[in-house]
Formats: sequence, C-alpha cells, structure tokens
Amino acid sequence: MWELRDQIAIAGIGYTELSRRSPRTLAALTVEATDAALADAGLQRTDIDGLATTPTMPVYGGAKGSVDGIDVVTPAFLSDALHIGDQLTWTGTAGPMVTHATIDAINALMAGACSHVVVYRALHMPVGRYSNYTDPYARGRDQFFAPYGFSMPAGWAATVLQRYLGLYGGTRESLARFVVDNRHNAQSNPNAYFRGKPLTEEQYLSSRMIADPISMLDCDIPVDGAVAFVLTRADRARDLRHPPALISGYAASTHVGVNGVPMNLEDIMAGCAETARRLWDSTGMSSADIDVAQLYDGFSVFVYTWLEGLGLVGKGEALSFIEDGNARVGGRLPLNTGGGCLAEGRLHGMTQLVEAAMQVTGRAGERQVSGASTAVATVSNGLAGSTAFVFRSDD
Amino acid sequence: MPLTSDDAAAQARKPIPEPDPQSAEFWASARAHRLTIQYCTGCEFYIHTPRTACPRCDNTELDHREVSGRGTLYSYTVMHDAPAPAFASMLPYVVGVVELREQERLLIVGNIVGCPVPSLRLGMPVSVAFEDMTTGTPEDNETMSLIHFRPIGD
Repeated sequence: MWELRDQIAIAGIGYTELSRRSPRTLAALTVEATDAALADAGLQRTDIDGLATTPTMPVYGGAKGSVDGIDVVTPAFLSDALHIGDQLTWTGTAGPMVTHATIDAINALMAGACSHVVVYRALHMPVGRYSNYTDPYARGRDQFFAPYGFSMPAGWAATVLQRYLGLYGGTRESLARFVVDNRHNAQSNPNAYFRGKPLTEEQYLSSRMIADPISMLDCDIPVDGAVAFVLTRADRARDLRHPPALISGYAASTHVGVNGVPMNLEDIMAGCAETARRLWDSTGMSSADIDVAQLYDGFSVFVYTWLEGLGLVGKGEALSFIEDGNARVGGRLPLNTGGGCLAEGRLHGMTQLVEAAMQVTGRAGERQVSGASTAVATVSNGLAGSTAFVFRSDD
Repeated sequence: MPLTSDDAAAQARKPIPEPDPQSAEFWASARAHRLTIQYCTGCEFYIHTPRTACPRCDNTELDHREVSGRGTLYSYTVMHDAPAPAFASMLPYVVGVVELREQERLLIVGNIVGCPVPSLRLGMPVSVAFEDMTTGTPEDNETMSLIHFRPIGD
C-alpha cells in the first residue's frame, strides 16, 4: 500500500466558462480558472509556490499552433501573468495527460519541494479541424496508418468498439443508454458545455456517423476553456474553506501492446487491468469499495472498457450493467455524474479528477450522490499514458 | 499565392509512406506486390510494425519473411469523415485491422476493398491486395504500393 495514502488533497476548484470558441485568449482563461480555484480554497496568489500542467494541444497530422498564451499556457507564461514568478519553487509539465503532471505535483508536495500547487489544464479549440493530415508524406508509425485514411483517433476507437460489440453483442440502441444518461447528468452541472441541452435516444441514433460505430455523440466535445485545482498536503487542506478530497492512491499504465494498430481491444483491456492492479495495491482497496466512478470518455467506448478492466463489472457486462440503470445517479454505481468529457467538455482528464473530488466532498449540488465517500477516476484509454486515481472523503 | 492545379492534386493525394531504415524492406517488397513481415529468427516471431529489436528476446538481427497475405478480419471501421483531403471523395471507405494467419495477434492495417459494407463481419477471411501509387513530384517516377485486403471464400 502507498505509504502516502490520504496525505495529499484537492483543496479548491476553479472553472472558466467552457465554450466552443472563446473570444478571450487561453492565457486570460487560465488566469481566471487559477484565481477561481484559489478563491474556492480561501487562498491568495501569494500562497502558490508550485504550478503543474500539460501544456499541449492535441493535433493529429496538422500543423496547428503551439503559441504560448494562445494555443497552450506553460507554467512560465502563467507565473508571469499572475506575477508569482519570484515565489515559485517547483513547476511540472509531465504528459501526455495532465494527470501525469498531477502525480508529479503530489510527489513534489510530499518531497517538500513546494506547499501549494495549482494544477491546471487549458485547452484551445482552434479554427479548423483537429484531425487533418495535411503532410504529403507519412513517417514513423504514421506510415502504416495515415495512407489508409486511418490517422484519426475516432477511427481507432471505432475499431475497438466494433470488436467489443462483435465479441459481446450490442447495438447502437444499447450504446444510447450511456450517452443519453450522461447528457442527463450534465443538466445539473453548472460547468457543463451541454447544460440546457438534454439528449434523447432518437437524437443519439440519428447523430452523424464519424467512424462507424462511433458517431459524433460518442466523441467528447472540444471546448475552449481552463480548469484549475489547488493541491496541498491534507493537514494544510483541513484549515481551508472546504473539506479536502483526499487522494488515496494512483496508478499509471505502462502497457504498450502490439504496434500493428494504434489501439486494440485486448491490449486496452490488459492495460486497464494492469492499471487496476496497481491502483488497488496503492490504495489497499478493491472495486467493491468504490461508491462513484468517473471513467474517461474521450470516446464512449472507453467507459465500457474501464468498467470491465477495473473489475467494476464482469467481462462483457458493461452494456447490460448500464442498460439496467445501475450507472445512473441513484443506481448501484453512479457513473460520470457531471457529464464527463462527452457533455462537460474535452478537458483531457480534469473532468474526471474534479468530479471525483466534488463527489467525495459532498459539493456536487443537485447531482450529488448521497453518501459517496470514495470515487475512482480514470484518464485515457488504458494503454501506456493512462492513469487512475482514488479519492476519499476525510473522516 | 493561388494554388495551381498541380498543387491541388498534390493536396488531394493520400499521404505517401516514407520508408525508413526499419521499414525499407517492407515497402520494397510491397512495391513488388509481396507482403513481407519483419521476423526474429532467434525466437521465431513476426513483428509488425518493424522495430530495432525483437520485443520478445531483444535480438537485433532481424530479417523479413514473406507471408501468405492471408488472415482474418480482427476489426474494422466504416469511415464517414475524412481525416485528410484525399479521402473525402472515397467516403464511406473501410479500414480493416487484419490478423495475419502466421501468428496470433499479428495485426496489420489496410483498407478493405471489394466488399460491400453489409457483408463485413469479424473473423471473415481476407487476402492481401496492393494499390500502386506514384510518389509525388512530376520529375520523380518512383512508385509505392499500399497494402489492402479483400475478402476470400472460407
């Protein structure tokens, strides 16, 4: 078991509006989210001595920008904007997901390198398309995929879902339940992009197909926006405005799998299972101890693979578990209670971490799961680069 | 500057595989309409995509071996949204993940050709098919061949 279990906590959370195209710069949004997180914790800018983020913009084959302050926001840029450069003692920029920067921040706090870290993720939705392979040549791994029109993550995820449906059964109708319920959850999340826009099964079934069986509504919604949270030691967090969301453990996947295809079902399941083993070792818990689950839904299929890979349901049982209503707020295992990436917005992991923290501190408002004291959060698809966390209420 | 018709044509071309030292033999074989896969003679293991060392035994003395080109459809997707301009006119098209029969979980990607979408099913037997393409510049007569798969009888 992790010897630092429950000793680090999320102590404050801040969001900006999540919109499709913000007229404001990403830097301005990040400053706003940071100040909101500090205010939520009852702290000042002068209290921060650490910043952590993953300052990248996901692009697939295009040449979209990486301009600091516009497309990404690095700790150096943000510290200058906040006028805190002189007081910082630690910054981290691990990737590929902000959860890796979060893990580094946890370890930096416990090592005494800093005392209050703002972890933030700022995502810009540039004009044009994420997936547009404009390079006339395909190099590296791309040479085996891009010439076949297979340079788009939605297509990769579609082959995972196609095989899942082929092996275990399931139709577009059975996929509708999760996406519709998830959108319903977003209606009581003030931060969600799709708040005020509930979804019917008919709308799901008639949504535009991207890479069959993945439709547009099986893909997360790209947004302009920023989210930040304050991470500090639990003993300090107990003196702040809100109850702390304790981190009981974390795990990272290092499973690579076969290289002939970008993603495949069996390797994703193996990666989820490996992550689960490490997570339960770290936390001293098991899947039976989890009250709510925030599972990564960059594409809807990953919710099914994480449910099974973490051992929350049996192999091949994810669709029927959801169809039977178990994953709704009020059900046996409420899932993605704030709407996830599909309905809150593409925040590359922040959605899952923050909602888990909100639920175990009883701060989730209308969507609060009664009695939720433990929450699991997973990010990415289960292969190397993925992470999982367990959050717990303070006793 | 306005695009010339040549530029526009180049823009609508599929991305061309650019061989590197590890993949040179794979693509040279494809040009000759042979499917070869990197092979470790040390532990008798096929490796795709090509690597510098065998993932099982770390052997760096790897060669290539011609394979049957036959396998089964491990998974697939019907693409309705083009990830590059060249594919817009092909929509909808099928990307297949094929498990070659030489080895369990020896997976390779190609387009599935000659198969109506409603006939696609996991596990269907397929065989390799090659698509020749020119590699770009007018003064360059080089060709490249892409790997596709078509259904065959059981």
